[in-house]
Parts: sequence; structure tokens; C-alpha cells
Amino acid sequence: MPKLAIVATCFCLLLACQAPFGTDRHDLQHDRIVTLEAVSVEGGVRVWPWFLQDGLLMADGVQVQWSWVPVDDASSFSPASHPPFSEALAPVVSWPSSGEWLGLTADFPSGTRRFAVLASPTGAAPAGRPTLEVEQILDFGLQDGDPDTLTIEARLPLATAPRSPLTSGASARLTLQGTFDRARWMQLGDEGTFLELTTSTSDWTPWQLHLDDLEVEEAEPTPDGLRTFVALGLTRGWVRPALLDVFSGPSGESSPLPHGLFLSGRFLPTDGPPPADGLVALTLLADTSSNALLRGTDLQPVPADELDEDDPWGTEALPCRTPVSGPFDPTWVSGSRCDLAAVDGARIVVEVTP
Amino acid sequence: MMLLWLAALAQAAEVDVVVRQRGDGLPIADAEITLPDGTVVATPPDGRITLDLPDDVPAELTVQSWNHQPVTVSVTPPLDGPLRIFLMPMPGPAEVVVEAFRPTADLTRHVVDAEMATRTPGTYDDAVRLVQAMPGVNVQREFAPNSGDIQVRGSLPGQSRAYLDGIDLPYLYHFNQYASVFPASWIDTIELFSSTFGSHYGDAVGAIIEANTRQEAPEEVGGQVHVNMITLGADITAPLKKGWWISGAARRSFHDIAGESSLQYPFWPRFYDFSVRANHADGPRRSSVYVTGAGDAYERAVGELDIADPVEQASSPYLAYRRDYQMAGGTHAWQHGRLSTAFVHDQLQARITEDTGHLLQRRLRLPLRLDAGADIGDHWRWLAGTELRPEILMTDLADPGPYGELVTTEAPELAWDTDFVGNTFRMRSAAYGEFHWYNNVVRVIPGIRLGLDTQGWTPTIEPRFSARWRVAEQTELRLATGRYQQRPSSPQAQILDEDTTTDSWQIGVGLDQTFGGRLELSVEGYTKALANVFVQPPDGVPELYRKGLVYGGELTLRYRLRDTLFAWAWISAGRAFVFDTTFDDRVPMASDQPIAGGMVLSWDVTQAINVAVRYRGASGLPYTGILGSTFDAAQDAWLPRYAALNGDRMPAYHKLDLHFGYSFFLPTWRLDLYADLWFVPPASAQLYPTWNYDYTEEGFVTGPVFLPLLGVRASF
Repeated sequence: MPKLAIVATCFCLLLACQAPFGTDRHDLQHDRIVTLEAVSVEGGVRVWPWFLQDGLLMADGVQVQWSWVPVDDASSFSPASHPPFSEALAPVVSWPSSGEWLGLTADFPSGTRRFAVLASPTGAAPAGRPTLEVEQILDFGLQDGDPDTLTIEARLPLATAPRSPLTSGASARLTLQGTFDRARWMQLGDEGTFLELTTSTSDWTPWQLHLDDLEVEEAEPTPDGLRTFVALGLTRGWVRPALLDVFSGPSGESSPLPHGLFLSGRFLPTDGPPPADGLVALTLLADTSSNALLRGTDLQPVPADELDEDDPWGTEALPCRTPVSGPFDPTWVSGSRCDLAAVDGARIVVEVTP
Repeated sequence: MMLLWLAALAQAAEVDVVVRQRGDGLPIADAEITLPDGTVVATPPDGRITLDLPDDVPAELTVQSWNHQPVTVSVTPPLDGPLRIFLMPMPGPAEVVVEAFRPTADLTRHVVDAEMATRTPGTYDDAVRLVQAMPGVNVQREFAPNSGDIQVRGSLPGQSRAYLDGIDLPYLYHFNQYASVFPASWIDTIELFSSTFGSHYGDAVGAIIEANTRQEAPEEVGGQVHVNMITLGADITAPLKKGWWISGAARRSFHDIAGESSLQYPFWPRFYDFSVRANHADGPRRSSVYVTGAGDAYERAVGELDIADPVEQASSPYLAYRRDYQMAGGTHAWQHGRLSTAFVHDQLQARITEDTGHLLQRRLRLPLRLDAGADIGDHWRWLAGTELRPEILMTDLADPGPYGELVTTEAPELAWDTDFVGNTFRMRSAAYGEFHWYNNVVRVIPGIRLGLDTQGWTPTIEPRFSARWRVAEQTELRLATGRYQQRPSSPQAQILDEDTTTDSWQIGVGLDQTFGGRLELSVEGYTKALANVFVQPPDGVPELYRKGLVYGGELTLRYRLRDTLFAWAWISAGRAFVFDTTFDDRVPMASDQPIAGGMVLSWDVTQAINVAVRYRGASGLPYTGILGSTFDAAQDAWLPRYAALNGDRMPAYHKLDLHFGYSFFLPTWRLDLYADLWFVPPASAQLYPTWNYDYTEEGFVTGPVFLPLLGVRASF
């Protein structure tokens, strides 16, 4: 009965109230275990914890301890009660036949301790990572103050269209593409409101809404800018995250979007304007003042025939937890494959597409 | 003038006069009517009399009765119909009521009656709610989940029993909070035995609540219609012939009919209760047969939808809850005893949608209770009795998994992480006997209660003893001690095969002092040494603690002038712990309320106006906090990590209720309007704790600070 004793106040409900909590589930803020990504590998399942540190997706400095936990102890275990079997950040594990869950104790540099468990995934691992797609909702109607517009039935028929960037103040429809049973939605920061639509789709509005039975009690606009959406595809214990940066606001000269380029859906700020297309060499610098965590400096166009044959993208030698290769993907840092410190100062090559 | 009057009588008209009491229309016997010539005639029992008055001559009639205000009316015969004269009743004499010095074997006995119930703020005409304003009863937050929990002197709710004319009630309050399950119009008195009671009650280590129904036969047909902001109800009583009379009552909440619903409550909570009763009185012999019942139902989201997304809301499981019971029984009382029996059907249905889990529980009971007693000579009295409680419990429990701990308020068994399907017969029986030896100064009452439970065929042996010493004319000392045992609840016994008896050795002492024969002062101290105490954690099965200790004291002041004023005030201090081995490892019981107190004052300023005030204040009760959570990555959900059992405490609670009532005495009926105003300081308005999505932030759902409540009652 931790929080749902409301039945007993049923006759007082119209008069009872509760001050809102500081952080909404959808808003990635402070320190948090965002998810445990399970990837089928040779010899078992590699579990990648995704950590949020003071609002930033990075694993640097987080100390982890992994234990096997009986299901009944899932909500109370600790390293003291269930001795850890590994302190590696992303171990390869096989769940014991006795049914225990994998338990994670994470100690953040801030001193915060968080716990997580993962039941044994079942069935075949979903192929590939899901992808996030976004379209602009053309007539959300929120400005009209019509409360019905927020019900699922009212929002389903709303027309959408691709827009990049999103029109200032416009709402978006996010769709997670891939193999999973249901999606869960989050964003870095706390501006805007999610309104789920189906198991794989959610609407998002830049308005800060206070709802009661899906009726709008209060709506405050939030400023234009860059939004980072995080979606989890969940299926039978397999968890696959996807990230996407979306800009809303005016485009062109009046755009407040800083210089930068998009890599695997994430925005990488750069010191100067990148070329419109082609290959560019740049140096990654850690920058924890923004969600991107990195910024590109010293941009130089690179002819294709001058690329290193053995390591054309400059990523093979990055000192990450598991070998990485191919074009640099910012989710390597977000998803704990690489520490931020490991890529700080690396000279890489990226391909800019229009 | 006199001669003129006498001459006029030569052409007299017959005038039928009916004298009745204003407010209820009851006939007034022996009302004296003074005619213009000074002649005085008296009304017969039906209040009707025929007078010879001169035709077309105005006549003044003065009507008076010993307990009514006199009235003078002018009349000019002839009249088309009878002349109806209504007299306003006068306030009764200032009768001082002293409750102390009742010679029972119980250490403590508090009594409330209908007058107190209707004239105390915050009870909303419900006598049983008044129990919660009695000394020693934990002060509960109004409209909180545990509002209806009866925790007396450190006892947990399941450790007490509630009776209606000797028969166990399946449950006492609708939704464990708002109103009791039987009509207030039935109730003559409600007795609370706080602890260390006599051997006539058993299978309880806490307290006893005994509701006694009205036994006086009505003289005329009467009834009430009443409505307040939540319920609408009516009752009627009518005399029949040969000492028989009948009564009926029904009540229902109406918010669901008014269309109230929400995502959280698609089926808004509704409750009802009803009763039909036939009584017979023949001297000291009184019999009654009755059918009564009550029901509660609603459907609510299992989760807190306010923090859920629309898709989560649409897929959120719902709990369909229904609880109802029906009783058909009878009692027969005579000079030396009372026999009570009833057939009780009691069912609870708690289903989580998509058949995720359910509890279907049906209980059939046929309790029988016989109490008898008589004097032997001038110094002895014996009391004896037996209690048989056969029951069949039919249970179908399907574990709802993680949803179980979210519905423990309605069905704690759903959090027991188990499936069960089965029917069980259980018979609990007991016999008791006690002797009173007394003279003018001392009364000594040894007693014993023996019981046998077919669950494990476990016997219980409970010796008890009490004594009273009239130290002086207005001073009495009381002592009571004994063993109190309680067998596990039927769901525990059936589903968990639990056979452990909770044991309690109790002792209490008290001092009653009256001042001037009016003001009563009582001081009591008590302690209970417990063994094998079941404590319900936030989830899972009840945990067994090997030992427990409860101790405390109470100071009570009472003053009452019947029908005019009553007041009481109390302060109590006590602690309640359980532990396994040493007291150093003690855990507060959920009923541990170190300080509580309050006062009630109700004054009929005039016959029409009543003003009253009630204050209750107490330390906050313990609850089990949450220290954070474990993130369940496969579900993207959070599991609460509980702190120490009952390690946190609600803020202190203070509540002030003001009551203003005004009565209109209309010729044949009476209209009572009342307004209650509650005030809970903002610092006390917390109802229960809640947590954010990952249990890292704690908050409280808070109730209103000011709340006016209105009610209307029409009676005839």
C-alpha cells in the first residue's frame, strides 16, 4: 500500500489534493539508472547500464556491483545481502536456472546509490536497435483550450507531416520503429509534456501541461530549442534504447540553433559552421555544459581518398569498453560503451549529409 | 360575564379538541383545558376531548400540561372540524447522569447514546463514529485510509471485536471510514470496553464494541427522513398489537447516482445499508427478529493515474471491489439473560481486471450466544454464558503479482503472494463464568473463559479477575487483570494454515471520583504483555513477533445533564511495541500513539438551538516509509524499498469541529437543520503519504482545512 490508499478518501477526493512532485517520470534529471540494455552476445547477454548523471547520459565515474537476487528480494537487495559477482560496468552474464534476477548497485560520483534489477530476457533477442522518427502534428488544438484534444481518441486522427525543424510551438508525434512490445518515452530536461498515443507512438508538446483526467488545468509554453528524446523498446526482458535530437523553432538565419551536425540522430555542436556535405575531420572535446556532452572543433574537410584505409573514421583506436568501429556514434557515450573521457580529444572523421 | 356565558350555553355547539405535542404530533394525555367559566377538563390518553361551547361566542381556552408550555387559543364555534392545539414540550429536568460506579467486571466501560451521537460535531448522526472520540481510542485522521480503524489502548484493528446485540459484525464502517453499517436510529447505546474486560467477551486481545438496539416500544408511528452531503436515508417505526412493533430503515450514498465518476474511479464508490426489525415486549421478556445488511462497491484504478500517461491509463488495471453482508437473526431477552443468534452471509469480491488476480471470499456463519445471570442471596451474583461460532469460509485467491501491494487496503490477502482455492469449516466455541461477591464497599469478580477452536483443535484458557472498592461515597478504586487470547483470523488460518494464538496478559487499575455528584473524574493505568503478535507489513503476509508490550494511562472528565448538556474531556498517554527477543529491538505497532486527547461539549441553548464543539488532537501514527526504489529494467518500473517497519510517523493531528443545529417544531413533525464546520490546521491536514514515480520523493495527500457539512433531518 505504498501510495495508493486513495480509495479511503473517495468521499473527500474532490477536496483532497497533493502538491506535484519535483520530477516527472519522463524527465531525465539528476542521477538515475535510465535502463539496462540487454544485448545477445557470444557466451550470454551483455548488459549495458545507461546512467544519467546530473541530467547527462554518461557512465564516467559510476561504480557498479552486480549480484544475483532472488525475485522476492528484488526490492530490498544490497551488495551486503547479496555479494556481487562482478564489478565490471557491462558484464556478460547468463541467468541462473534457479530464477534469480540480475541485480545492479550503482554508486554515482555524487554519492547517490541506485538499484536496478533485470529478469532473464526470454525468446530471441530483437534484431538491431530501434529508431526514432518524428513528425509535426499539424493541428494539435491545444491553444484552443479544448480538453478533448488530449484524449487518445481525439489525437489519433490528427494529421502529421515531416518537418525539420519543428515549427515554433508545434507539437510532435514520435514513433519508435523496430521489434518490441511497447515503448517508453523520456526526454533530457523537463520542458514539454509527453502524451502517449499507442504502444509505439507518443505525442509530445512543448507546452508544460498540468492535467486532471486529461483535462488541461494549466498550460505554459516552453521556449524553442533542441530537445533530446529517449525511447525504450521493451520486449520480453530485452530493452533497446533509441535517442533523437529534434529542434523546434525558426530555421535559417534567425535560427537559434548553434552550429553543428547530426550524427546518428544526435546533434554535435561545432565551433564553426560545418560544410553542407562530405567528409569532415574534427576533434571531439568533452563539454558537459550541454546534453550533447561533446563538441567538435578544428573542422577540416577530408577528401575520401585521403582516409586511413585501416581506420577511415578514426574510431578503431578509441579506448572504449568494447571495441567500436565505423562512424562515430554519440550513443557510444550515452550507452556506456565509451566513457566521455575516452573520446575526449579524439580526432575522428564524420560524414555530413544534407 | 359568567352569567352571559352560562346563558349562551343554552345554544351550545360541540367542539372536538385534539391536544398534541408540537414537533411529533404525539397525543398529550392529562392536558388541562380551562374553559371561560373556569371549569377545567383533562384530556384522555388519546388527547381528544369534546367540549360544549356557546355558538357564535368567542371563547378563550387555556391548555396546559405539566411538561409542556401552556397555550391560550380563541375560538368561535361552530367549527368545521376538530380544533387542534399543539403544545411545545418543555425542557426536561436537569438530570445528572453519572456513568461511573457501574458494577461490571470490566475495567473500563464507556457508553454513548443517540443523544450524544446527534449532538456531537463530526459524527454526522452516526453513533458509532462517536466511539472514535472516546478516551483511549486512537485519534484517526478524518477521511484517511485508516479512519475507520478502531485502535484502542494500543491494540491493532484486527484485535478488537464489534457486536450488534451479541452478534459479530462482519465490518463496522462503510469503506472503513465514512459511516457505520447500521442505522443510528436503531441504536440505544454503544458500549466500549477498552481493555481488560470481563470474561463474557473473548477471542480478542484488544477492545470490545457492543451496540445495543432500542427496546422501548413506540406509542405512535414515527420516522425520519434525513439527507446530508453524502447519504440519503429514511426510517420508520410503528406499533402493532399485542406488544409487537416493527421498524425499518434504509440508507444509501448518492454521489454515484448523481453521475460522479473519474478515470481513477470509473464506478464511483457507493454504499447502502438496510434493516427490518420486528420486536415484542412482554414485561421483562423482549424478543426481536431482524434482517439487516450493508454493501459497499466501487471500481478504481489500481495505479495512480495522475502520474500515468494516456496509454498507461488506458491499459491500467482496475480493481472492482464489492463487499456486502446480510444478517437474519433474532434475540430473546428475559430477566436473567439473553439469547442471540443470526445467519450471516458475508462476501468480499476484489477482482483486478484482465483477471490478473482476484480474491473471492464468501463466509457463512451461524453464531449463537447465550448470556445468563442471577443474584444468589444478598451478596452473590453469577454470570455465565456460551458462544458458538460455526463458519464456512469459501476462498478463491489468485495472486495478482505486483498489483497485490497496491490493493491491500481492500484485500490484504492479495499481497500474500499465493494462490488458494478451498472451503474450510471452522468452529470456535467458548464458555465463561464469573461470580460477583459484593457488599456495600467491595465487589470481587473472579471469572474464567474456556475456548476451543477446530483450527488445530487448540484450546484457550483465560482466567480473569476484577475488583472494585468503594473507598468513599464518591470514590471508587478498580482493578482488573487476566489473560486474553485470540486465535488467528479465518483467512490467516485457511490460506496460511496459521495456528498461532496471540496471547495477552493484561492488568489495569482505575480510580473514579465524583465531585458534588456531578462531575466525574476517572484515572486509569494499564499494561498488556503480549506474545505472538501479527503485524501486517506494507506487503506480504502478516509478520509474527514473539513479544509485545503496551502500556499507558488515561485521565477523563465527564459531565452530563440529560437533554441539556454533556461534556467530556480526556488525555491519554501510552506506547505500543512489538519485538522478537529484547526490548531494544522494539518496533512501534501501527497503533502506537504516544499522546492523544480531546474534548466534547454539546449544549442545547434552547429547545431549538444546539451548539457544540469537539476537539481531537494526537501524535501522528506510525507508517512504513520508503527509502527509494529498485528499478525494474524489463518493465521500466520501480519497486519500492521499504524503510524500517513503522519507522516513520505522520505529523501530529488536530481537528476542531463546530456544530450548530436548529430545530423547527412544526405541528406534527420536526425539522432539524445542522451545519458542521471542521477545521484542521494546515500542518495537520495530511491524509496519507505518497511517493513520486521512483519513490525518491515523499509527499502527502492533504485534506481540506475548512469544510462545512450540512444536513437535514425531518422526523414525525
